[in-house]
Amino acid sequence: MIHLYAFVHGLRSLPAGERLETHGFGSVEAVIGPVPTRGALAHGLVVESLLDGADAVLPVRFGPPFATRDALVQSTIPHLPSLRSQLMHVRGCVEVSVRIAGESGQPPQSRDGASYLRALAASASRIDANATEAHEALRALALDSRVERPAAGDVRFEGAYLVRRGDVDAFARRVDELAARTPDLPILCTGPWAPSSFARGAA
Amino acid sequence: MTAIAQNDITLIELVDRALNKGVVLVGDITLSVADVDLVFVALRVLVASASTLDRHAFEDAVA
Repeated sequence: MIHLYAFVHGLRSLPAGERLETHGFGSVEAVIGPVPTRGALAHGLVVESLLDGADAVLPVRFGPPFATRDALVQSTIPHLPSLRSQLMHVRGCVEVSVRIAGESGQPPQSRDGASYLRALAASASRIDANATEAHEALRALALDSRVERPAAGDVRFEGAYLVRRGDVDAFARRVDELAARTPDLPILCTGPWAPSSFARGAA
Repeated sequence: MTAIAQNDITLIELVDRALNKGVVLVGDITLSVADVDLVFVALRVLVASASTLDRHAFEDAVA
């Protein structure tokens, strides 16, 4: 059985530890190995480690293994034009994730239910306005961006940003500036990640 | 945010990304209940917890 981790371009070295190898499709290489015993966690760790050894990394979602190398080849060939295009899009870039949660601090104090709900709605509007402003500011520093799943619960906004490796520090500083301007609005920034949000599902 | 909370979020986000994002060539594995991904739920809870932790840390500091 063959497990597929990612497609890469400009591979210089493979991470150690999971008996990895590659299967070449011209300029596109598939990073493969035995099915990892630690499942999705091992898959994710390998994908993130590939960032250090390749110019472009296109993560593959953790999924069922291929029975043979021929099955992998037959499944990949129809998607090669799209994979090449996507690899060129993310070349030299990483992904940075930004989440904005609801306001910290005390809930609104009100005398009755109606005014309480109005205060809650006003608070939600303020958060959404700040999230939109933050997204516009961060999008300007990124090559591409995605607004993730619809906001729900405490998390009001999730954005994924495709950032040149050399621009990550400037991006993080911008997030810090935005967080400092709105200290009651928790902003959580994680990364740099392999650009999974910019890898389209092929199936 | 405390270092522990940050580490938890990073680890769960790593698994969330592995399960829910990326190229799909064949099939898919989803751990979900009522169409809501479980890992995604865990990530939301942790983000919310981190925000609560921040608030508690602030309240402790000013108490």
